[in-house]
Amino acid sequence: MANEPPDPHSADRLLDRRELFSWVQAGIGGAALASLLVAGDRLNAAGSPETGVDRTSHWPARAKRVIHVCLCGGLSQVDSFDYKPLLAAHHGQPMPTSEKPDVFFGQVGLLRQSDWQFKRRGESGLWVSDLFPSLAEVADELSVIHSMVAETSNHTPATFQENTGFRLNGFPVLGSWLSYGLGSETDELPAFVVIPDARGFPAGGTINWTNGFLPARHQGVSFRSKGAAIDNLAPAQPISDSRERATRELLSAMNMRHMSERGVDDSLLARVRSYELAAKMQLAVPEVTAISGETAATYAMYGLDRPDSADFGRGCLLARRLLEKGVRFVQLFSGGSFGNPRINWDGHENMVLNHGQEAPRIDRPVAGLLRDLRQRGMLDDTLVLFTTEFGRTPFTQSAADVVGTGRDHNQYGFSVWMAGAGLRSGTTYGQTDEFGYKAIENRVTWPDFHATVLHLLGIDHERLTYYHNGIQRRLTNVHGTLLKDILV
Amino acid sequence: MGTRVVTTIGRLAAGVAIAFSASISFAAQPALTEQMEFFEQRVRPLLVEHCYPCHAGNKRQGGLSLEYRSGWQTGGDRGPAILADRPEDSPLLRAVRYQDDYPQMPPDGKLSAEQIAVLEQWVRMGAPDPRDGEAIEAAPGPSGTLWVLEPLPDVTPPQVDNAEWPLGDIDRFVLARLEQKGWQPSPDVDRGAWLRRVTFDLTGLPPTMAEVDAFLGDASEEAFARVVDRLLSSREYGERWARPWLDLVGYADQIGSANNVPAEQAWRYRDYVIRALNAEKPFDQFIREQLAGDLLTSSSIEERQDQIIATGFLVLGNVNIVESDKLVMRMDLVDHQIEKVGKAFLGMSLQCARCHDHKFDPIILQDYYGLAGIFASTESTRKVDRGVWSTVTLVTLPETLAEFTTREAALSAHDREVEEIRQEQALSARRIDEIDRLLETAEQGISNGESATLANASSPEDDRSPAELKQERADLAAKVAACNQRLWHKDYIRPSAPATFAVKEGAEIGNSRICLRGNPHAPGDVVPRGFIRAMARGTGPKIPADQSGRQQLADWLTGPASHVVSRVTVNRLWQKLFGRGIVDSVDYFGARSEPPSHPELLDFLARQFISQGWSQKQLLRELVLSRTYRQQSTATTAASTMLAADPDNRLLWRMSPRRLEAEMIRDALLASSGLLRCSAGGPALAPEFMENVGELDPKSVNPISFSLQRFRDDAPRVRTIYLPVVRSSEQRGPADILNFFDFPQPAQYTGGRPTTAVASQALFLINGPLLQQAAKSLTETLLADSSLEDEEARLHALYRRVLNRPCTPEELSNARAFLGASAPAAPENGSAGADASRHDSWQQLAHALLASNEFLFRL
Repeated sequence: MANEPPDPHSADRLLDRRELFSWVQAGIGGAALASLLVAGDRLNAAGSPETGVDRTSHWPARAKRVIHVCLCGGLSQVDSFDYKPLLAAHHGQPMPTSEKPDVFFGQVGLLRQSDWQFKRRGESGLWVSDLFPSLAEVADELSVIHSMVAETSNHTPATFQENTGFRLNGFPVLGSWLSYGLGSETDELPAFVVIPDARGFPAGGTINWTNGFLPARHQGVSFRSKGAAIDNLAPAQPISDSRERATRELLSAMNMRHMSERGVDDSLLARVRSYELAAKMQLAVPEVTAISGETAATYAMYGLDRPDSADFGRGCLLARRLLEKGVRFVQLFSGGSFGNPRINWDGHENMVLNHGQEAPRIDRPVAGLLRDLRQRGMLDDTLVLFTTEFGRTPFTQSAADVVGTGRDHNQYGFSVWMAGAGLRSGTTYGQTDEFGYKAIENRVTWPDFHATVLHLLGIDHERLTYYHNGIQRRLTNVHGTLLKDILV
Repeated sequence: MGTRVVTTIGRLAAGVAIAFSASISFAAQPALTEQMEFFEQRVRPLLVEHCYPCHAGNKRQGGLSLEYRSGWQTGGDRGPAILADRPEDSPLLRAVRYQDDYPQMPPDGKLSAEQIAVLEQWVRMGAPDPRDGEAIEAAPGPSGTLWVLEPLPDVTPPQVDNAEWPLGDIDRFVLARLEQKGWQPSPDVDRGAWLRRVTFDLTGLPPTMAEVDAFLGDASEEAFARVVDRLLSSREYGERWARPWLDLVGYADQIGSANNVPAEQAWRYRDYVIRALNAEKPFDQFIREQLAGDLLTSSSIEERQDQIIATGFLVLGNVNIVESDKLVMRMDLVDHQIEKVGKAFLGMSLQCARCHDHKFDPIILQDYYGLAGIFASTESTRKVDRGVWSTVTLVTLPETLAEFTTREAALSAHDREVEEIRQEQALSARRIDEIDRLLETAEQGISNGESATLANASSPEDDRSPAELKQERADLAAKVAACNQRLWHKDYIRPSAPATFAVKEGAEIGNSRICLRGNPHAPGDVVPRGFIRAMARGTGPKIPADQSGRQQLADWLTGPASHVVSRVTVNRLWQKLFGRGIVDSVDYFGARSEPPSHPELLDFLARQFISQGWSQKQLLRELVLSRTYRQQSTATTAASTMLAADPDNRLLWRMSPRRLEAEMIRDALLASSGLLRCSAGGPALAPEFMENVGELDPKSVNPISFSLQRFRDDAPRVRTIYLPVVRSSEQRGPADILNFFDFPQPAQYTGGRPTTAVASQALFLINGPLLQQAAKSLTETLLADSSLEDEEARLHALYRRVLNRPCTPEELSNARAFLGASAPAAPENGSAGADASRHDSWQQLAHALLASNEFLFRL
């Protein structure tokens, strides 16, 4: 799996043969040639996307597909999943600590108890606050990690790290690695679909679904949850089907001939391939995005019947439908970029107003998604991820002697969860200190998290590599420890 | 065998990857060995956090410094801290393990088992450590370790075996490297393809049919130079080359990303860049004007205008103008300006030093705050009286007589229109008063028991009911309010003395304090204003106490640091022509960048760039007239060795083919189809349409906002650089192509764009309105051209217009087959139906050609 596993379509075959030809001509030694032939055999023997044969597993996959809900701006752990009784007890007092905490905006106010009531939920007794009343009802499905840490408390690089493992841009995101490693189960839709918040793109914009140095077809394709899912699906001015087909064939012939005259040229080949996918998408996208056929009960389950949750509900419902069609990885963003008024989870000024605005947008939809996947039997082999780039401070962002209303960024300890295939559900992992500030037990880094996701998908994170600029690159770089304790 | 398989296939796959994504911005990630990565990720943070407090800088407890490799090699009172031959006995490990009678380190608490394991692993690896330097209290200064900091040497072009091939010095450098490998350059591309290539590269447009004919008709060697000189002196040259510079500036017609605040005057800077390029303004002067134009002397009004407009460079980025913490807002802007200057001119990431000395590059905290003092002494934004908002400083420009006369004329027309609106409003207001009187009278009448009509009232012609009158009154009131909107709008677009977004010397000039951990609320020591010490030889110009230092910064960049600036600049131009820079990471020349592919060539060109008066045109001329540039881009079977060994074409054994950039695709579509119209530049946002402007009420707490409801009639036909660029959403209207073809987000300052090939691009090309319009226009032109006597002539004309070449016999027969098959078998009797059908077939043919790879690639 260190190489590019090609689609079994003709263009790739063509490329393989050409490359092989050029290598043979170059007088590459027998060993290299043999290895190419071996690779060719392996690839030829591999299943096609249509049959859904898992081509690349290092071990049996527990999950076949992923939905990743990404909360932009920084979800407060102490107001959602990380219950700290001592925080309430010390409300209005300074955090007892020997050194001044290092926070993004430099202001360390007094401790503030959560504005939402925590309760034990379900049979598991997992603590979830009233910030997420619907999610609380499905708490038994969740595996909550309480001890996440990030390397930065700046949104854009932290979001990159959440998605790529690296703070700097230029690296492939998780969805692209999966597209590369597992391919697609459909040839009508992209393997990796992104549904940005209806209000705007996340910090860093489209870089959050970049293929980095992987081939461009592993890039995320963004779908709108409202209006036309993607642009230019139909001609601006209608033309007859037969004419359109004839034109496409002509264009294809022009491009193939041009390519055959020029020899090996991957950039040209990539364009030819993009037309093939585009043609199939023209049929598949309207079908998969036609959510009007869903029942009223489904609408209600996803919160489509309420104005505050309708946007995200549509996204979640669309995500389920995409997975059903064989899409490998769907990423939903909750929250856009910086700005005023805030349109993400970045509650610097006022947590009640901010999280109180954001949570109702997603609570019912995400809970509905889990329920729906469960009732359809899909949760057995689907992984649901719910993450944020970093958490928030247990003390407020205010003067040192004031209990303010907002919380600053906190990279040292925050909560995320996974649900679905292969996980011990209704459990927690790791701990923060008694105020929920820093992870103190079983600290989990993004590479650890990514390694575990890959593991569940049947991939050894140390063996999913791609050669780039002299290095066999990995999603997990030189890190990554599997979180064995959360696995079944 | 297992490993080998992986490696071999990996290399194969790498070629594919790079060609697919051809990404430049991604290349900023340097090749690090995993050991170095381990050091950077695991070891260094540990040392910094737990050891540096007592063993770095001027603190050397026990005589030991752990700040550099040499520190632990030399060691302290107990000798070397790490023993290569007996790693387990290394004092460092014994200390952190709290082992035997050794000093227990760190003294305030034992490291975790995991942390100790990291150090153990590191020591066992042989303690890989990239930290060059002396563990002494060194004054910051030239480090001498980073190649880009070395002065420009006088390089002699190398000798080559194949003396026939080079046309100039560039070619000797390139060929010498190929010959070292035993390789040969690729054959010359045919002349027609060269013309298309060079015309796209220098002007962003394809050549016209007449230009092709003229060049092909002139077989002399001088024809090449004549073409290049013609292109370099065209207006289109500036329009093409301004855009890469705007990518570095983060240009947009919007201030910040909140609330759609228009940058109404940003276009002046865009037009300035185009003017500067076309006028062959020396690059050192270009730098000086952009940093300190307001402080320079001038000899004409036009020159003065340009000097002030140029400083827009410093404020036309993603500037935040609304932030509760004003101190933070100001320091963020300063940080922005430092980042931009660092990236655009020095190829360095300076902003790391906001919080700490740079980890890899010789940039220290003091350098950062030396620069910060310069920008903090500069006024860039100011508070406005709308709510909590600020705006970018607007500076009034001197006006030429011609501009003044034009404006006066526009102003009197404007005043007339305003007067008309006022009269309209007054008329309505008077009528309202009248109705109020009528209604009052009627009310009195009713209360007196008279009939409920107004027949007996003072106005005998008005026999309407009170209800009708009330309706009219409401309509009139709405009209009065609408007149207010119109008047506010008129006021907003009133022809006034020209003004531009620019900087000024600040009201307070002085040095900055270090912000501890980058936090402006945690001030540290004062740092004198200055520059990056390690980047230049000598101290650089002195900054007088009463000046910000921008002018001295410009002098420093173009003087003591010119060896860096020149290398960075030359490399950017090279990259735009050859696809990759000699230094691949065009915005980053630091210690973690990959080494240059042709270091001597870069030095040679950088030195020559300065000696030839910082002339971009001169440099571009030499590059495109080289034999290197003339190579074909097709990799023949004879080139398979080179393709396999160097798929990225780092050694330039051929020309790298490239997909056109977004702007070029649109501009070429317009040009080939005859739709393109010249533009003289000017405002982008069309504020003259009232529907494009919001928050007009002067009492609003929010600033005036814009929306792009309506574009000017010529917008669909002008070059893409003249279309508005927005920050907070996707690009709109005729600029929507930018959303699909890798236009960089204007929040970034970037010298490189990725090149992707994704399905949304294919859909844009097949179904988007732009291609349809272009194909339609092209078809109408061809079918109406009576000089084209038959179908064959028409097909040749189509190919010549779109691809700059006639069609081949095979293409001819394919096209004929397409036209025949897609047209219904109607008799050729000129019926309207047959004509329409013929038109459609031609349009589809043209569309396919415009969407084809041959059209979209600069080969």
